Amino acid sequence: MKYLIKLWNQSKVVRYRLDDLTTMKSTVFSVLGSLVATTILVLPLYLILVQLFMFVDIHIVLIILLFVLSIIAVFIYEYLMYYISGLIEPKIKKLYTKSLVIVEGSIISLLFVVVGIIFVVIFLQGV
Amino acid sequence: MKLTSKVKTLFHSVIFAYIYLMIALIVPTNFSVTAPNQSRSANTMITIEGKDQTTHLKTMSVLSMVRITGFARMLYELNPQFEVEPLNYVESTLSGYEMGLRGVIQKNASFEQSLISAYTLAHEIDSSISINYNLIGMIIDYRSPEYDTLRIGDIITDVDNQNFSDYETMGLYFINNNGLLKLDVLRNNETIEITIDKTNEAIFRFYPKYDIISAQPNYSLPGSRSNITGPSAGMMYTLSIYFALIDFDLIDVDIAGTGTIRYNNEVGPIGGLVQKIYGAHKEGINHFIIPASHYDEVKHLSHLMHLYPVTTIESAIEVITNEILN
Repeated sequence: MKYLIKLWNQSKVVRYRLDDLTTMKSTVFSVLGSLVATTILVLPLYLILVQLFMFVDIHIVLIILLFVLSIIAVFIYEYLMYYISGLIEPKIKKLYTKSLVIVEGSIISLLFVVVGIIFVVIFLQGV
Repeated sequence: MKLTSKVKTLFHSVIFAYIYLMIALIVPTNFSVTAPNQSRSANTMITIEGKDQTTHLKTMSVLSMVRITGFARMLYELNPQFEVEPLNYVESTLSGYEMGLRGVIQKNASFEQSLISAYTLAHEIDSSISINYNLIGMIIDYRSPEYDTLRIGDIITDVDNQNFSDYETMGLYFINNNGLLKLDVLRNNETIEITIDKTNEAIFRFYPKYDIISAQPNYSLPGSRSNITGPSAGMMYTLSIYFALIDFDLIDVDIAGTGTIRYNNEVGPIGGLVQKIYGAHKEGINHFIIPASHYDEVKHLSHLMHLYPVTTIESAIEVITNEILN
């Protein structure tokens, strides 16, 4: 718990400092660049998994794998976003952005998991 | 942005492989696939209120997909239980939306026909069971692309002002007459008049569309919310409703089956029978009722389970009561 609180506080500090170091243009560039890179990395795996849904025996395994892949994709996106921001503004490289990646990645993944569970429950009811 | 030489080398090396992989994963081919699916109790699709409806009568569906990708084709062909084949004429002329719409039309038609057939048969045993319905017309399940003034899902309520009262006469009139036909069409609750120039080569496929006014005992259709579509469970719906209506509670083994229910109580042909038998076999089901017209194509699988070919719903009832339960 102590570690989590420390991580949360650290991420808030890093966030304030990042706001000073980034511009709207660099933020848009890093977000779009990260989105494209994450899509390139993860899309083939998604497409392979989706096509495996014809095998009815492994539906549950595939659903779990899709959840895991979505969470991995979120963390890759977060990491790449701050990596690209660092390439645009070298001062960002010196910041401890790892704490931001963990905190923001966890929040977004949690949101994904909740939405995913609702979607899966609706999907399974309809089958 | 500086890229290290390792990243550059990696990029050079994998870019073509990546592009080829993405083409294989995204670009559709002119092939479709049919794969085994799980069974589902017929009583989860149509429920008769106040009746104890058996869970042992199972419908078998298949998973199917048209225009699969190259990667999917390679993957599915490795599995002998899957059937990968070129798109048939109907699939190649319809969009994905129209294919989905057809599935829903077929499912609703099989709900209506199975209710009418089962209630009518049960009425012969118990006169307190009744169903009150009207024929609205013929719902279009397929029409050749050149007749695009008609849409899939349109209901033809009359042809050449003949005022038909039954589906068979109306259908035969439509099939047997070529040239200009004046159609009264119900589309989005509005009646419009469409004239078509029908030729011998025209392909039309219809289902009867009924308005079920009332039924005693009442029924509900939980299956209308299901993702499962198509007409192939019609026979099993009819059997499930019929046995519930006559309070027949002796069915104590799982019986799967597939086949459409037609307006004259015949059991009609279906697709993906081999995959349905594999699906039932995986679940340990030993009795499978099939349309007689398909028996030759699956008799080599009779070592997996007992196959019972039937031609009508009456013969399916006989098979269950006289052969399977004995």
